[in-house]
Amino acid sequence: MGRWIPVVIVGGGLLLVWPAVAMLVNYPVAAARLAQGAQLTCETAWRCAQELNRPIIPFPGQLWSGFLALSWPLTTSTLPYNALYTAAETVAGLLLALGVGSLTGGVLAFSPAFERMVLPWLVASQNVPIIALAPVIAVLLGQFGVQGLLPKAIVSAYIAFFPLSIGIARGLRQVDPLQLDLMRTYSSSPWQVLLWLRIPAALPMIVTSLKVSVTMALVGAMIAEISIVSFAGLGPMILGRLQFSDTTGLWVIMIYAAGIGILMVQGIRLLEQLLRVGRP
Amino acid sequence: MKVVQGLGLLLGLVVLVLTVVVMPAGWGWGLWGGWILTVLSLWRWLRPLWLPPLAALLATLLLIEGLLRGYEVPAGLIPPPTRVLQACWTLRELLWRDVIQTFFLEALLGLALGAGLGLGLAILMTYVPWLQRGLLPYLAALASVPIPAFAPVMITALGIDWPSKAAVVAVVVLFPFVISVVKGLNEIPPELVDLLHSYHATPWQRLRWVRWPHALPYVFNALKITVTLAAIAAIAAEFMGSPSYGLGFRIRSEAGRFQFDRVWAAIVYATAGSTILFNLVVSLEKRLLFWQRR
Repeated sequence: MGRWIPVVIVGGGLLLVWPAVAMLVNYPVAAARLAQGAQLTCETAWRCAQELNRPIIPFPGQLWSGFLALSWPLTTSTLPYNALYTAAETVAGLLLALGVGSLTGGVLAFSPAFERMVLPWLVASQNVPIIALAPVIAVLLGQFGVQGLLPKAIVSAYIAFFPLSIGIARGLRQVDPLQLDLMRTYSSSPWQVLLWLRIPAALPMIVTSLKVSVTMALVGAMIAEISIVSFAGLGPMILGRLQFSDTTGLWVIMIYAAGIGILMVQGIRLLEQLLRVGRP
Repeated sequence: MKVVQGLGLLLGLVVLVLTVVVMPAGWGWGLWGGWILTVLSLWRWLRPLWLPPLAALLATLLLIEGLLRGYEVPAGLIPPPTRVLQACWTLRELLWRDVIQTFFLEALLGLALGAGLGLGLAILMTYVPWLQRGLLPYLAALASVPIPAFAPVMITALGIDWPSKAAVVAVVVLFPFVISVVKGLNEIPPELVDLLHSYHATPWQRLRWVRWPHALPYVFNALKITVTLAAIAAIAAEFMGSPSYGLGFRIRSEAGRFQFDRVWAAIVYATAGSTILFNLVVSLEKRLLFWQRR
């Protein structure tokens, strides 16, 4: 229990500071609008600052009502559905990347020539802002008639692919030589070695690289959503709110998106712990 | 042999420069000839380690070029590599303006801000340990906000120009930076702490002479991780809204107008920029941390 006390104290402090900061940044805006003689229902700048339509930083109350307005009722135009849609794109993308990455990682691990040619580029690609390619891929896929959830899943798979395939290749080769010798004394076939020794040994590393790539995969899915015409997901919702500069709505969407990100990372953590069960 | 190689290098470079600057008809093949000649003459000086990847890259690019031309794929859809190089040259002024916006104003200033803040927080955390347990979960939560959801909030608060993107970059790099530096500040040989204690050193002296030199390698590690992240964050944030320049803006708007050679040119610039930045950090690290054995 003791380790939660500092978390609660800092959280409480942030909650206390929040309205003060919101007042600090919103007050000048409200004062300026009052001075311009805008038709407002409030009298003093102090009150107006708390009721701005487009606050720079929303007050807790404003954020809460915005949250309720965007979360209920459960239709295709509110946030829960769209957040789940984006999450589904990301999960589909991660699974796709896992499939393709296993193939590439396997070839990398077992063909030294291929590895020498390709691995430096795979490693160097981590220095490349690969997110820059997301709009290109999304638009190209749309051009070839790929529509719906798939193009976004492919983009997020592509983002996750690079770290994953490196992780898989490293994991598959990271085998205890003693155990390898043991398998050899059992005269086991290469497939048996792969199935019973290499894949189990590689799993922790694969999960670690999944953890690295999941946040960026989510980013990739959202970038793909805004790069092509799409009707569901957090990306289109953000663009819609941005058009009306609905600050409170954008804050609410940000909280939802952060929720998805945190949930996914925690999900992979859970997977990691499940894999650790039964290991020395 | 050396003379032949030198002549080959000279000829290759001249062909390269000429084809790029003058761009005669059929210049694409001249470009390839120049590249191949240059690489062939540099063959000896290239480290053997670099050869397979370089050969793979050249072969892939040539293959793409050949396939695209052979099947007559419309250049607007997937431009052949030579077209992209051409766009890199003809759009150099426009793209340079984008590079200034994205790398210098957004990524670098944001990185400086985030790194400074991270350093301050990390030092504070080593002296107030409960803050470490209290603050880190919030920083972790902040780090898992996807950039496309975070950037619009910053854009509405700070305006559409570069300060909003610099703020996004600062927040994105903050968490990895704090984590890495706190680890470095805490990893100090206990006998050094005892020694300084016996010297009756002040907290400032402890920080200056023990903690800081020990943390410096971690600071550079953090910089190496975050410098690429900063470029990614700046570009991704620009996708959500930007004035009419910036590499992210360029990529998204030209992709929407099917000007793919321009898109790829912008990507080439972005890649070059982040590679150069990363290597700058590495060379700075080598110069400053000369006592570290590698």
